[in-house]
Amino acid sequence: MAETVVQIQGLSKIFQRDSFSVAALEDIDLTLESGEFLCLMGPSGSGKTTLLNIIAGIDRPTKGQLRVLGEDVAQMSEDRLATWRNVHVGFVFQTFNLIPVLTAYENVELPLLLTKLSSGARQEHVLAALKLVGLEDRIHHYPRQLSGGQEQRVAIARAIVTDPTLLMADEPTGDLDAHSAEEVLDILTRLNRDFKKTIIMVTHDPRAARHATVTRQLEKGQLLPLGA
Amino acid sequence: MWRLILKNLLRNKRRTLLTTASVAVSLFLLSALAIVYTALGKPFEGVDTVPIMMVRRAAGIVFSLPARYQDRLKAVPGVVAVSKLSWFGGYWRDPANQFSNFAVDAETVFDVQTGGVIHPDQLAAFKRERIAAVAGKRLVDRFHWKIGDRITLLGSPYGVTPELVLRGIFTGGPDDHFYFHWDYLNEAMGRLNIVGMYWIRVDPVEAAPRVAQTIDQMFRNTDAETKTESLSAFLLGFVSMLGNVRGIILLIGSAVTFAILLIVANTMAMSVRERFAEAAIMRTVGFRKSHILGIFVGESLVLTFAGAVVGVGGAKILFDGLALRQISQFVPADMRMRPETLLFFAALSLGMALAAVGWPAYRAARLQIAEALRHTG
Ligand SMILES: Nc1ncnc2c1ncn2[C@@H]1O[C@H](COP(=O)(O)OP(=O)(O)O)[C@@H](O)[C@H]1O
Ligand SMILES: [Mg+2]
Repeated sequence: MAETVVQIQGLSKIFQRDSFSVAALEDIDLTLESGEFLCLMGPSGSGKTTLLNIIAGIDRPTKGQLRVLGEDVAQMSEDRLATWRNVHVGFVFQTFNLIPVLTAYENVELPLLLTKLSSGARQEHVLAALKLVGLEDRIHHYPRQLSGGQEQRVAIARAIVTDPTLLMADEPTGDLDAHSAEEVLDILTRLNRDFKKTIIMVTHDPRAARHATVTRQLEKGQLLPLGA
Repeated sequence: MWRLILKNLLRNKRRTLLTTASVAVSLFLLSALAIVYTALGKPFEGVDTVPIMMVRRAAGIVFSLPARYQDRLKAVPGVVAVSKLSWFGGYWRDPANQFSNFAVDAETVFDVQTGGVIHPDQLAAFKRERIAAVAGKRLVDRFHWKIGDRITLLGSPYGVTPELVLRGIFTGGPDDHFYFHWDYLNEAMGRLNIVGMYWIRVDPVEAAPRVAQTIDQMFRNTDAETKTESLSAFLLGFVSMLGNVRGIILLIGSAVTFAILLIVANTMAMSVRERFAEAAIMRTVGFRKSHILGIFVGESLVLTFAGAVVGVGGAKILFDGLALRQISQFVPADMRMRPETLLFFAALSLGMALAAVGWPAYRAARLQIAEALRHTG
């Protein structure tokens, strides 16, 4: 009964820079079922971020097939993609990427401003999300008043507040100390295990990989065979 | 969305404040210039160029001449008509009703001022009656007067309030002028026998320079020396000088506008550049290009309009309060802010806000999300 969330075939991405070109991804095949927690590993520059961006529709492949949640993401217009991401995809970055002039509460509420929810309903969602990441007592703090770990948890709350199917995290623990990193990974694990979120996490931290259900290695733009 | 705009403006309070203040000051200056500019544009409609000459005190326009000069002027070869002309400076009913009113020699004023055409019966009625007055057509239309109306001139610096009856209407010439009997004024003032100036008509026109010389020579070394000049040339010179002034005002105005544009554009460019990454994040969580554009444009609008309200509003309050009604004795001008001017500034502010933010906002909205995110952290 598991359905396919991500289906990729023969996907390549070539960055054209003036005269020379960089093949960031080469002939990638990848399938991800609903409920999986995929950990993408690999050295810096191996194409992890690029792959994540393409799956989320914030970058486009040069060639190949790509279906995410049944949609041909590569063919969608930017505005449709924006709406699609708002509904289906949550994103967590390495740098916490909160809007500095907004409080934790307002940052989490941001994606909901695009929905038709009433402010009462929005408040319910925001508080639930912040509670899930354990920050219900920090809602009126501004990003600069939070620790790195707390900021990243706000970012996670923002990513899940619209209740997306797919959660993307690009080195979410990269800038965190070990303790904060563990907290963030725990939250992601809980989201996967208890809330059945499909997660793709990029990391080059081997400890992080323990939380995943599948781990794949990227190297120089190529996905190594399973178990490699 | 509005909250987002306001929060972003408050992000850097000092910058927002400085920018708004600069816009306010610049727009205040621009408003003042605009008021003068429009005021200067109005007063000279209908100035006529007939060769009338003006004899005034050499010491300056504010000094008067003896009334007895009239006969001596008349005797100068080339002079065909002479009329006394004392600027009176009254208003009708309300200080807002300013217009050019003069005490003149009813017998001769239309011999000198041939540009104004009046029906002979009306002219005769004017000459006959001591309290009679005549007014130009434009003025009559402005105040909806009709022949027979009683008109009392208030507020004159001479401290008398002539009660007059309108007996005639002339067209052409200085048709915003109002004339009444100098004799009447003279009596009311206790027979001081002084005149602001004389208007003389010279024929042939070519005689004008010689006539001027003769007259001024004639009164040299008296205690009321004269200066005779061509009235039309005087006005024309003045008009063309004002034309230059308007040109300069336009130039300064454009420079100020450009300066405001630079100020706002600089602030917005900085503000947008700092937030490319944020724009990318917002796009990632589902905001569209148009949302991003809207937020930046909204910020620019709020910034510019806040400045405009303070600057233009301040100018309006100040100038309407001062209620200046003339630029000089002969140049009535309404120095209040007109509705068109307000409308102009609303449009200008809108234009500037858009021009200032257009390019950076467009870039921020268009940016490749992946690219923008890569350059953060
Ligand atoms: N916009 C771009 N232009 C040119 N080259 C790029 C661009 N984005 C990424 N690359 C190149 O693509 C490769 C993969 O980058 P990336 O996906 O960021 O790797 P990772 O996230 O695994 O460190 C790198 O060689 C990088 O330099
Ligand atoms: Mg990366």
